[in-house]
Amino acid sequence: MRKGAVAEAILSLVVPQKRASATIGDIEESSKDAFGFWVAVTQTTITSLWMALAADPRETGKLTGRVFLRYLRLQVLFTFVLMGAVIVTAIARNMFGQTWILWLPGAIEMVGRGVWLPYLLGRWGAQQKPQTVAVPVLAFFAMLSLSCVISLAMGLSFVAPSGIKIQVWQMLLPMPGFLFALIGAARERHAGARPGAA
Amino acid sequence: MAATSLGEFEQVVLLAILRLGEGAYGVSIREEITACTEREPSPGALYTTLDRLEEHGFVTSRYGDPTPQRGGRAKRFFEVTQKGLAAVARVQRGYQKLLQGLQLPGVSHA
Repeated sequence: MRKGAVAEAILSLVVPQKRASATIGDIEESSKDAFGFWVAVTQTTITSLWMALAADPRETGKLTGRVFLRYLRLQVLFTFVLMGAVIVTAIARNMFGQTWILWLPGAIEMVGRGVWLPYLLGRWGAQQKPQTVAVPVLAFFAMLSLSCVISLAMGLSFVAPSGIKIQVWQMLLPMPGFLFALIGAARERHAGARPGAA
Repeated sequence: MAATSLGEFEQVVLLAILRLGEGAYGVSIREEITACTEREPSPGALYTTLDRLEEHGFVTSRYGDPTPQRGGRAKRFFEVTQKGLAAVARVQRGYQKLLQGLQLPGVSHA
């Protein structure tokens, strides 16, 4: 029964909750074994996601653009707030000589940009597309992929000729952010599905 | 494809729902298609087709009561609308016209 609940949670990212529940019930009823069940769930989720994306390509494109702008805005805001806080603290307490001032902002920024911002974006996306919350997450993933490809291309064309070694993994570092966007979207979806939720 | 036209698989699904009457839900539709056409549609193809047909107004769906046999999950029952009936009849009339005068192996003509 637990696999049914998990499968339902996955499928409900792509189709409305009630529909996901009925579909998983059907798949459970007709599947001969666990393997067949998961194959059917995966296939149904991927097909439904593709349908949700392809049903209105213009809307999907628009959403990707909005996700990009929002991510940019949040990043700028986050960096300014963070840097502002660090500089003010450092000046006020005369802490420029201490080592934490070097690594702490970097660590906070990494967590903020890689985890917190994608999570917020996932929640926001789920509010925009409450029935198919995987669509904005996928839009975010597309946006992240594109920005990584651009960074890589820029790095290879401008930095590599100078002899500096390009750290490809560093440029791909933001990619796992989409997982946190998915968590945010799933959480928002779950909150929205609760009885009595607006 | 225009919202009023039907693809081949959409016709198959509509005809299966019509054959099943009130008991048409995901599992029974799939079984009916397999029994009549000897091909087993994938769940993904079937459910997205059903959603598309409903979106275009060819079918309507309602949820039954949740049953313990299905882990407390309800069945989603489908019914062909007048628009769906008209669309499938139109396509079938076209097929019949095309078939007139043809002799296909194993096909009896109305």
